[in-house]
Amino acid sequence: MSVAQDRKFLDRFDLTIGLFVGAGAAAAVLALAAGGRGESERGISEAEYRLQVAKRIAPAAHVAIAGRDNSALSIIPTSGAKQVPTVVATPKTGTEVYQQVCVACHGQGIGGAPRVGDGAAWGPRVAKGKDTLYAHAIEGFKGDAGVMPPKGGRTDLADELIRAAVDHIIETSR
Amino acid sequence: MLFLSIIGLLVLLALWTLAWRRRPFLAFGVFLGAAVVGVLAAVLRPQGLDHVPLWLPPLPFAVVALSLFYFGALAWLWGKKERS
Repeated sequence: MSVAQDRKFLDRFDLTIGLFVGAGAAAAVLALAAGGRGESERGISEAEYRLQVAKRIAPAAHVAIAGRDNSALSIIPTSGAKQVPTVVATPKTGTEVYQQVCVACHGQGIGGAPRVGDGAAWGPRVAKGKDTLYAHAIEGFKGDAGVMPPKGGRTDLADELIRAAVDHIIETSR
Repeated sequence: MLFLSIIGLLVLLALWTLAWRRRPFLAFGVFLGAAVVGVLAAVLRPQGLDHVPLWLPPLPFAVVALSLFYFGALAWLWGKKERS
């Protein structure tokens, strides 16, 4: 390339690099300004903002462990105008408890849970007595096959409903 | 924070003045790039990070790659013309 072409090339190159630098600097300044404006528009302190973030990224589910206090895991309805109505109705009978809660594991035998209708699996358990089954269902149980969480994870349900669900399972599995 | 911003702005202005004296095309490019981004920001009105277009994050890489390709092709073509 001649000297004139070199000059022309470098001028174009300078212009392009300048475009990138200018665009980058302007974008950075505008992004900082936009970010700052957003914080002031939120109208909350940094601590409150961090608290909201912590709530947003909190685990969606917790595990109830047998033998421990799981009362904090019971379902508490949230207040506020934007509250979404719950889709699943609260069960009223033992059959409904089974259909909404127990079937998750006992329907297909997930996690070592004895399948409903499997008389051979339920026989030895029923032989221990209903009170034992009630206690295991309500308080939770850790056996050789797997772990039964207290009330199947629905610690908000009344003990009577859980007993009714156990009765339903026993009747169905005879 | 305001003090730091002012200092940063002054430093940028000093650098731009230096560029304007020694490499006017570079300084003009900086001005043009800043102006283009300013106009785009005013027109597009960025509202937040909720709706970032998919093409936006890789755009800088694509622009740089295309520019390098353009200058490579330009140098090759002009060099070829000179040789012939």
